[in-house]
Amino acid sequence: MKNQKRKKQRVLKCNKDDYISKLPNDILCKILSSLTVKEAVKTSVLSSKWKHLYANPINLTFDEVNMLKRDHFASNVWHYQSEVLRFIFKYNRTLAFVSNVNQYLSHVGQVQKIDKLNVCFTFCHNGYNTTDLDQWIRLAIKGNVEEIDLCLMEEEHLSPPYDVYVFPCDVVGNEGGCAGAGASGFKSYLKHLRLAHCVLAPHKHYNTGFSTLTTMELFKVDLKSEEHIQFLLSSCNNLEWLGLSKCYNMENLRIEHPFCQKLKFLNVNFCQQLKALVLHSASLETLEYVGEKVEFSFDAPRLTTFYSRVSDSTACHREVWPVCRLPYDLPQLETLIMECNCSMGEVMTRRLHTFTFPRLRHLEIIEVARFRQDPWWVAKILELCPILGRLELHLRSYFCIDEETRKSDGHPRCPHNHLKEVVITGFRGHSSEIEIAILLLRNGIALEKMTIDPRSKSYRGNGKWDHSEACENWNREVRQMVHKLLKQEANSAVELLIK
Amino acid sequence: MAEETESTKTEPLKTAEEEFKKLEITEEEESELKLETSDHVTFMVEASIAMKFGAVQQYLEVSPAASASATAIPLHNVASRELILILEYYRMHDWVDAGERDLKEFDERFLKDLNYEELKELLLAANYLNVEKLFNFLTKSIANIIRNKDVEFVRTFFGIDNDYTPEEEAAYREENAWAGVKFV
Repeated sequence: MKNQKRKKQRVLKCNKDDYISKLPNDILCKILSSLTVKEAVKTSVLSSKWKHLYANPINLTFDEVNMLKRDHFASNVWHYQSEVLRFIFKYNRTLAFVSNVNQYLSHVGQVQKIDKLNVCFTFCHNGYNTTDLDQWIRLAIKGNVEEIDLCLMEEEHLSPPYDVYVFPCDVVGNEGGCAGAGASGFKSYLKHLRLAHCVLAPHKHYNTGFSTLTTMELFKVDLKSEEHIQFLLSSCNNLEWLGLSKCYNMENLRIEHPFCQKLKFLNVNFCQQLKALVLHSASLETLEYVGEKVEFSFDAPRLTTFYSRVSDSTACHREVWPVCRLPYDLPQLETLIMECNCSMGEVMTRRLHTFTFPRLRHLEIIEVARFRQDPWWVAKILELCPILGRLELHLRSYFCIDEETRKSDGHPRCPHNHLKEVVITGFRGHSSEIEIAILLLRNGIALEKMTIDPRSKSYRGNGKWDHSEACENWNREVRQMVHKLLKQEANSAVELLIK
Repeated sequence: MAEETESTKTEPLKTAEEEFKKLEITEEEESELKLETSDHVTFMVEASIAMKFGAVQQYLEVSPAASASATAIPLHNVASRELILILEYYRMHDWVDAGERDLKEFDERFLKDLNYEELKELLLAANYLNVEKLFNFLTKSIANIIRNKDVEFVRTFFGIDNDYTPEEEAAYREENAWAGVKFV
């Protein structure tokens, strides 16, 4: 650490308030790292000891909050009436941002190790100062950065055509890095790459920098052509996690031997141009797919977890795609998370009657129902999945059409020998929901535990869930009523948990 | 919302008894470690919590016998006052049933009860003990205290004596003017 000679020893002795300054510099740096860059820079004025303390960051975070004065925040653009004034504002804002970052980095020169580079600012291809961004990435790579996160469009709603920044693959690739660093054994330590709103199109010779990656997440990234995608994938030897969301120019996604041999998780989300998904992989375990109907070609024996949405648009009414394909394409499926729309209950009962999911052990259904929850559909599920052990229903009923009389004689019989655990979330205490619970209690011969949770759960993707509060009608009385109704149906072996 | 299980209404007594038994069992099963602070006070601390302290882990790696025996693990740079606070913090954050909101409220109250002097001692203790969660919490809290404050406040807070000449200081203020922070 570049500590200045401390001539102020007497301060330490006589001023008992000088405590935190006695802390080692790395702790002070840690405190500074919780401040924004512009706040941390201010501390250089405190004393000579503090002069360069701020310039030892672990993470480089460049966005408007960290690098710009408040009057340069993007939201101010609407104070300007004319197009010309708005353009000038944006131009000046970009200049200020780039110059501030450069000035800051000029003090950061000697940093040994950078964990993360995070840039969130609008950069266009050949726009002003994109070479500066190249330079920042180069600097981070030289600092053995492990994580790069670039979001290069601040106005999320904009979509092409606009000229987006071209990610400098040669900088992370060995050759380019070597030239810049001037060191012979230059090596990239990049593990996580997250890109949004840019072009990622490595050439054959500039794709070595991707071999260290374990996770790559691309959002609205232009992948240029199938050839470029192949160059990219061919270098991802260590990639375990790949997410592609709303990416452009990708018609076919092929993950085939010998590419991506460590890939375990793949998420494809609304890639409009996609036509075929070819997965011939011995390592892939989880697939999440949301989007239009595409051609599946799967040869992935370990792929046992699948998440998808099933919509009730007219196109899908006929087929219930992609769930209808799963018994054929993924007979080994063990875990299925399915998000359904309103009238799916009917559609599924009519369309799915010929299928079975022979290996399915764990099923989670997120069902958004406008009206009544359909208990018949749940009975169908039990039939389709003979060895199902765990069933989770995440219900969201919007309107309470609950005054209908219950058809007590209408309970379908569908005894199930394997179902051990049932979880129902988003429970409001409607009679139709109680009906579902009762149906499962009556037919689940081996049932051990049923959990009823009034808080609703929604899927955020990538294995993460969001919880929300219980509905306002849920109170002690409703809970007691539900408990009473279910208790009389549950046999003594079932543990009933109502939250 | 508190997570409580709907207990069967007819047998509330029995359930309470069972709960109590469960508690007793967990208390019995939980092994404890003996820690001795710099002012020679010994504490019996749940192993699950004590093992979160990097300093304790390190000590046990060097002399594993201490975990079983009655010898106290010495914490040379931590006084009993700080250890009580650290244990209070970790017991709360270790509590399974604590919701996010509870923890936030607890953290706020915990911080409010500390003056700057205590905050300092606690930060030093947390650093010495190598307790990551509390240490991160304290550094963040200190950052929050100095955020958006003028230079003189920060100097007083940290007890820094300004060793710049007025010209030097003016030059640094000028250089960092881009940060847009008002210096008073």
